[in-house]
Amino acid sequence: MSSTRHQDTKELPSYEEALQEHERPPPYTPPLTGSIMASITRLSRDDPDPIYEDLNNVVDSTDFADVDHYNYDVLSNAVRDVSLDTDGSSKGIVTMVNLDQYAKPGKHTYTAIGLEGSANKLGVGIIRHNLGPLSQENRAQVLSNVRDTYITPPGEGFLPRDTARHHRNWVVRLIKRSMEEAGVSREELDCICFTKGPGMGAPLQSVVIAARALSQLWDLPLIGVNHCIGHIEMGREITGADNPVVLYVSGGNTQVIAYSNQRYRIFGETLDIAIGNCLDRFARTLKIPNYPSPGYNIEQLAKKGSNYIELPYTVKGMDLSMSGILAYIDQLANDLFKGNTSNKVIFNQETKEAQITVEDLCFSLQETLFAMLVEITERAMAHVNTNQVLIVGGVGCNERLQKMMEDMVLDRKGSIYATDERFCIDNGIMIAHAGLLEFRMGKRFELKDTVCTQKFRTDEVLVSWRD
Amino acid sequence: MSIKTVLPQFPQFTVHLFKFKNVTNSKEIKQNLIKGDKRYDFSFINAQTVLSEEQLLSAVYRALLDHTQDKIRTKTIHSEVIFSLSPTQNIMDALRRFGIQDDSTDLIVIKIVDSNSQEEFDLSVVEGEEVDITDEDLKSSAILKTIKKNYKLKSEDLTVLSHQIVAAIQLRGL
Amino acid sequence: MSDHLVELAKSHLTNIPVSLISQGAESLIFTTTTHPYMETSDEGQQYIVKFRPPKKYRHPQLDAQLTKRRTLAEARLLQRLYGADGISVPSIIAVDARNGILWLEYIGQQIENGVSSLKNYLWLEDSKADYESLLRAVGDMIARLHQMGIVHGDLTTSNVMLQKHGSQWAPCLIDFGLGFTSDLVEDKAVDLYVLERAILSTHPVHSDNYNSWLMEGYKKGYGKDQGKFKQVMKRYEDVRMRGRKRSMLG
Repeated sequence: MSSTRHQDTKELPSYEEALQEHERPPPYTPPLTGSIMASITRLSRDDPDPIYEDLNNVVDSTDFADVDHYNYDVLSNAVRDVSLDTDGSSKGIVTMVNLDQYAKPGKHTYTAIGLEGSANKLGVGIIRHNLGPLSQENRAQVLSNVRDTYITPPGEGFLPRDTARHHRNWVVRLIKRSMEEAGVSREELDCICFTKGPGMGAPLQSVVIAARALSQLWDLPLIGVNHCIGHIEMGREITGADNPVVLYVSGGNTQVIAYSNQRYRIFGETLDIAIGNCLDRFARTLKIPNYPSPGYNIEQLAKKGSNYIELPYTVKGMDLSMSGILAYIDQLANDLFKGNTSNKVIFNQETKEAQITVEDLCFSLQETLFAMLVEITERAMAHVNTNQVLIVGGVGCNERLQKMMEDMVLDRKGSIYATDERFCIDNGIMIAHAGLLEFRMGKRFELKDTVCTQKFRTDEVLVSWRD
Repeated sequence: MSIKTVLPQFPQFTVHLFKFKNVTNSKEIKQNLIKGDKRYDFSFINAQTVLSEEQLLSAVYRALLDHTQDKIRTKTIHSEVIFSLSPTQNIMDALRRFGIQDDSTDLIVIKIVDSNSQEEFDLSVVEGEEVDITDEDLKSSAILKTIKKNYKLKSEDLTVLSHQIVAAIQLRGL
Repeated sequence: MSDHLVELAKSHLTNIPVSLISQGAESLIFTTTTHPYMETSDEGQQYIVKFRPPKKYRHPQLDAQLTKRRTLAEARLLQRLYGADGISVPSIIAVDARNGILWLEYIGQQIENGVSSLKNYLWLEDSKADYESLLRAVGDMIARLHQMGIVHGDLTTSNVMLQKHGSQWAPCLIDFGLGFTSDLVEDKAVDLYVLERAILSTHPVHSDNYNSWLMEGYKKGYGKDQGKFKQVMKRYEDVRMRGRKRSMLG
C-alpha cells in the first residue's frame, strides 16, 4: 500500500507539468453563428465588425487569462443580446446539429461507459443512445449506474490521498458490476468516458488511470468530460428541460449557468467556498455522521429546527460568498457546545439556558444559504428571460432547496426541474452521457491528452452538440 | 388660509394646518401642553424651523405611516408629528428644536382628526393672528441658519434643501 | 406575470392609482400621478413607486429584514447623493421600508422611441451633436460618485435618464438597487467595466467612441485628484484583462 501512496505523490508533479504542456483551453472557434449576428443587426443597422476585431485580438494570444477574459466577453454580450430579445426566445436561427455524422454503418445505437471519481464518490455508468437527436421520444437509456461513496468518520473530511485509494480499490469491482447490470459486453461499447475535471487531483488521477487501462485493454477511444457539463446534460436529459437556467450546487461547485452560443455561461458563482463544502464543514463542526452524506444529515436536523437565527447574508450582484457565514455559525455552535453563556444569541441572559438548538442552527444555515442561491438564480432568470430552472449537483437533492426554488419559480409562472439522488449526486452515468454526446460529434482524445485537471471551468467547453 | 387635507393612503384621518404670527401666549400653551390639558391636543410647531409645506406634510405622512404600523414612538399622534420633523431619534431634542418655545411668536398648528367623527376643535387657545400657510409665508418666518443646522445641510438652493429635508424626515432612525 | 404582486403593492398603496412600468428580479416599478402627501397641482406630474415584494421562498424573518435593509440602503445612497456637487439623482419623496416601498421623483420624459433614457437617446440617431458632451457628463458624474465612495453596481445606458435643462439634455443616475458604499479601487474599476460591457453590447457600432468619451469625462471628474484616477485606471486595465471572473477550483 505504501508504495502506491508513494507513486501518488511522485505522479503529481508530472501531471502538473502535463497540465501546462497540454491543458491549454480549447482553441478559439468563432461562435458567431446566425443568432448573434441577428441580435447585433437588430441593435443597429451597421456592420458589427468592432466586436469581431475585439474578440479576435484577444484570442490571438494564447495566454490563459486572456482566453478566460474572452469567455466573459462573450458572456456579457450573450447576456445582453438575449435579454434584448423581445419575444423571449433565445434560439435565434435554428440549425439542427447532426449527431450522427460519425455513426458506424449498420449500427443503430451508441453505448458508452462513464467513470466518475472527482470527489469522494466513485461512479460507473453505462448509457445507450439511439441514432437521431435526443428528444422525449428518443431518450437515452440508462443501462446501469453504480456508485460507491468513501465515508469518513464523523468530524472528518475526506483527504485526497485516502479518497484516491478508495477509488483504486473499488474501480475494477464497480466496472464489472456495471457491465453485469447493464448486460453489455465490451464489444458493444463505443467509447470510455472519464471525468477530466474539475475536482480533487488524486482521485481524478486514480480514475483516469483506470480509464486508460480499459481503453488499452479493450481498444476503445477515450473521452474526457467536464464534470459540470456532465451534471447539466444529464439533468436536461432526465427532466426534459429544454433551455433552463442551471443552478449547479455541490461539494465543490456553486454556479448559476445559462446556455448561450455553444457555451454554458457562468452568470454567478461563489466567490469563496462551495455550498456543499460549507454544509460539510458545518457538519464536521457538529460532529454528525458523514453517512449517507453530511448535507443529508444537516437537512434532517434542519427539519426539526424552527427558530430562525439571523446570519450574515452575502449576495454580491449575481455572485455570493459563504465563508463568512460558515465562520459565524461555527462560532455559534462552538459557544453552544462549550456552554459559553456570554453569547447572547445562544443563551438567555437571565436564565443562562440555551434558547437555540443544533437543529435551529442547521435550519437557519439552510434558510440563509438557500435564500441566497434562489435569489441569484432568479436574477439570472430575469437576465436571460427564461422561466425554467434546473437544479443539479449533490446539494440539489435537498428538499428544502427544491421547495424554495419552486416557490420562486411559481411566482414567475415557470417550471422547476430537479432529479433524484441517482443523478443529482456525482455518478458515472452523467459522464457517460456527456461523453457520448462529444463522441457523437466526433471528438476523440489521444492517449497523451487524457490527462485530468483540477481547474476546469464550465464555460471552457465548446458545446458542439447544441444549437 | 389654513390647509385641510386628507392624505390618499390614510383616508381615515383629516389633517388641518394653521399658521399664526404675533403669538403672545406661547409660554402658557407650552405649560398646558406639559400638563396634558386635552384642549391643547395639537402639534405646536416653531415656525422658524419650517421651510416648506412639503416638509410639514412629509412629517405628517411619516407620523401617520408609523401610527398605522404601530411603530409610533411618542404618546400622541400630535407629538409624533413634531418628532417626525426631526432627523434624529432623540424625542426630547426633537421637541426642543421643533416644538413651541416660551418665546415663540410664529407658530404652525397641526390637528389630525378622525375623518368620520369630524370632531370639533377650538383654536382659541392660541392668542395670535392667523395667516396663510403657503410656501411663501413659511419662508418668510423661516430661519435658514437654524434649519440647516437642525438637519446638518448646506445647500443654498431652497428646493434642493427642502427635498433633502424630506429625505431626512423619511429616513430618520430606520 | 405575477399579478398578485401588483395586487399586493396596491394593498400597501391605498387610493394610489399605479401603473406598472417594469419588473426586475427584485422590484416592481410603478408610476402614479398621485403624490403621497402633497396636493397635486401640476397636471400630468408623475412619481415613481418602487416596490420590493416579499419573497415567498424566504423565511419571513429573513425576508422582512432583507426587504427593509435593501429599501433603506437604496434610499440612503440617494439621500447622500441628492444635492451633491455635480451629481444628479432622483429625490426621495417617501419611504415605507417595512413594506419595501420607496417613492421617488420621476425623471425624464417621452422621446420618439420611449422614455428619455440614455439608451433610447443613443439609439435614436447614429450620431447626434450632443452625444459627446452628454457621455462626458455621464463619465464626470460617475467619477464624482466614486469619489464620494459610492459604487452604482449596475451601470448601463438604461440606468442613465436624461432631463431637459433648458434646451439641453442632462444626465441623471437612477436605480441604485445594487449600489453600495466602497472605497476600494477594485469596486470602482468593476463598476466602470460593467458599463463598458453594457455599452459594447447595447451600442456596438459606436462603442469605441462612447467609451472613450465616458473615460475622458471620468478623468475630468477627478479634477485635481488625478492620482486616484490613475489608480482606478490601473485596476480597470487589470479587470479588463481577466474579465470579472477569476478561475475557480473545481
